[in-house]
Amino acid sequence: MANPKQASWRGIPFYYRGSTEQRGFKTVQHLYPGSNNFKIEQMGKMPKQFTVSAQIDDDNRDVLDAALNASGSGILSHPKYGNFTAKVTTYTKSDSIDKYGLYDYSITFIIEFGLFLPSLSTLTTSAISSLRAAGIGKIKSFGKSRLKRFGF
Amino acid sequence: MALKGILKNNTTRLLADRVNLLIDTMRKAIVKIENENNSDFNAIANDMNDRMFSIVAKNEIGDELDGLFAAYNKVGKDFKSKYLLNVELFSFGKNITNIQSSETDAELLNTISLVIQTINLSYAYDNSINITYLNKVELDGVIQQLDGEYVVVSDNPLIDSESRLSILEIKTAVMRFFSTLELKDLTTYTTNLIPSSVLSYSLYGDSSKNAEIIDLNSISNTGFVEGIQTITEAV
Repeated sequence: MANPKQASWRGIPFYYRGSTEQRGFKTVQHLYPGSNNFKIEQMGKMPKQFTVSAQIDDDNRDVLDAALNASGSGILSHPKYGNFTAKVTTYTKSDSIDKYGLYDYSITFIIEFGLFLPSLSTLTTSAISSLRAAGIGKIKSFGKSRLKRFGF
Repeated sequence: MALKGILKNNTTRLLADRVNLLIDTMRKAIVKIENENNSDFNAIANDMNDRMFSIVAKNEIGDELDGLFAAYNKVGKDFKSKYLLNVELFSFGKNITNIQSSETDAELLNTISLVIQTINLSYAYDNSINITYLNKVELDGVIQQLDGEYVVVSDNPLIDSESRLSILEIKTAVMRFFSTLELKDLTTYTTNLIPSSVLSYSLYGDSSKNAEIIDLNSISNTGFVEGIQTITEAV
């Protein structure tokens, strides 16, 4: 992958190793006693699901764990498919002496709304101005704390 | 590691110079794009120039930059000018090399540049949604510029997750906003000397779009169209 930072969950980047997409239909089997006939009824589509294979080093493990354990929806930035709002269902984390301090994750996300669409309230120009103001507040705090670490 | 004494003084001077360079770059952009209505900006910029060492030493850069960018944004007479003023600052500080800088100085300079780039990009996103776009090509050009600068900011290894998420939220909201715009395509069409109604028929199979094409492309001789024409498509 050209840029592993393109993959992230709740803004926490991880090294993307691949993913498996699971889709299909919700189905009901109708089986009839004493008959060889059966019927498969499709009851609409299953939610789109990605199982993402991710890798991260020692330093960033706890940050990713915190993001994975935070409840509610978040933004999954998938390097191949784009941004989605999603929820984590399960994840596994494994380490091995062969991996030299790297952790392998297998994370299952259920995609909630297809491509990430902000709510209509964020699509007005004033709402985007509010996002701008909030973003500037965040980067100001970031700059201040970085300089403070060096005695400013 | 906290800096002290002469080391801190040297670093403070270095960071102050970087912010002064930003102000110089802003002044040049204003002369190039919109050299009116700049008195508020000049007052704030001059004041910052005078106090820059103290601003850095007291770690007040973020708040001062916030005020500076707000004044810079007011210079543009319309949103297109405001956006172009932002474009002039894209990738600020990225190509400046400080050969004699220590690792600490380099990291702090990178931090200052990142804060500047992020504030500027936030304003660029905000301004870009208020521009009246003539066609899809113009909008695509702006999206490409914004995406390029977004990569500069989000790929910076120093950026924290909260700031990265904030800028991603703005980007996503802006791209969604753009997706709701209904704009006309722009295509290049080469034609011999033919009546515009024939051109309309050959493009759309409908000669009644003749008037719309003439109107969209400001064609003065409505009877005939010749040569290489960039045509805004009638939808």
